[in-house]
Amino acid sequence: MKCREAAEHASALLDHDLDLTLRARLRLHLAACAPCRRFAEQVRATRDLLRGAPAPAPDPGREDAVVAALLRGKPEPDDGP
Amino acid sequence: MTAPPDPNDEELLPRLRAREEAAFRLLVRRHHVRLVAVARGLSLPQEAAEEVVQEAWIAAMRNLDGFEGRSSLRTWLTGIVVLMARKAAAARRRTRTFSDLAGPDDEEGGVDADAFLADGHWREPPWHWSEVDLERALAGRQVWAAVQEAIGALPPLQASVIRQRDVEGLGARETEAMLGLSEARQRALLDRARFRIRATFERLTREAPARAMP
Ligand SMILES: [Zn+2]
Repeated sequence: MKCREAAEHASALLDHDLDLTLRARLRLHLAACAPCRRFAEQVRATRDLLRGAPAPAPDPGREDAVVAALLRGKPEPDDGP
Repeated sequence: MTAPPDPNDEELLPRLRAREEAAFRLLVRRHHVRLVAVARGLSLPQEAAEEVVQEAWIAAMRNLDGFEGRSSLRTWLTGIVVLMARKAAAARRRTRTFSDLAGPDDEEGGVDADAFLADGHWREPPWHWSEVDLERALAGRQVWAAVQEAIGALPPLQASVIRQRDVEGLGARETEAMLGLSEARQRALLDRARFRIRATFERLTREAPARAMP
């Protein structure tokens, strides 16, 4: 396995989304290749940093507008008279 | 004593049915941005996505009785947004030019081909950085703010998928049910999104001023 292929599979490895053969070949490559190991580790760190990141709140103006619309219970356009 | 945790979505149901403002606000604050990302992922530009999600909120809250609790409220809401966003995107395709549709760059951004030599070896190995270097580079800014910014800079479909899978931690099957993307498609989008964000973090650490001597 070449470094390029190893890097391409580094993300799928995190999700246990590689078949056995491919995973074994990748692990073999990572064991022998420091740059790819570093890359794979950084992809993992990236994934871990994302987990649970609080959803940004909507702009206050947007939030107010949505809540106001919900309170009005604005009828849908095709509701008719 | 610590304050009681915010009620979860399902606990909010009776208050939502009673049309309580605080309950609406909590739910909107919790899901709106993610739902807009879902709509953006279905080829709607930002403003159109905001409009569709607002309409979806109204439709959902008017039809709360139709929510039977067989899925989570989050999944049910997402389903309504997907339905309405698809419809809106189809209507736009009929009336607008392609140039204002989002999405063509969603297929880009795999492992950077330039990082490798023709023989498949690294041209330039990854810069040496870790989470600690990233925190230092952010100089007091919240890592989470940088994360959200990096996600916001992704092509819309990648952003939508990585939010579901990595931020919310939902599985491939649940994401497929919500967004209608096959697991193979998610695989490609998720890989690209992670690689792009890794590259963003690498750039941040590289561009940070050289470490001061302790
Ligand atoms: Zn390698």
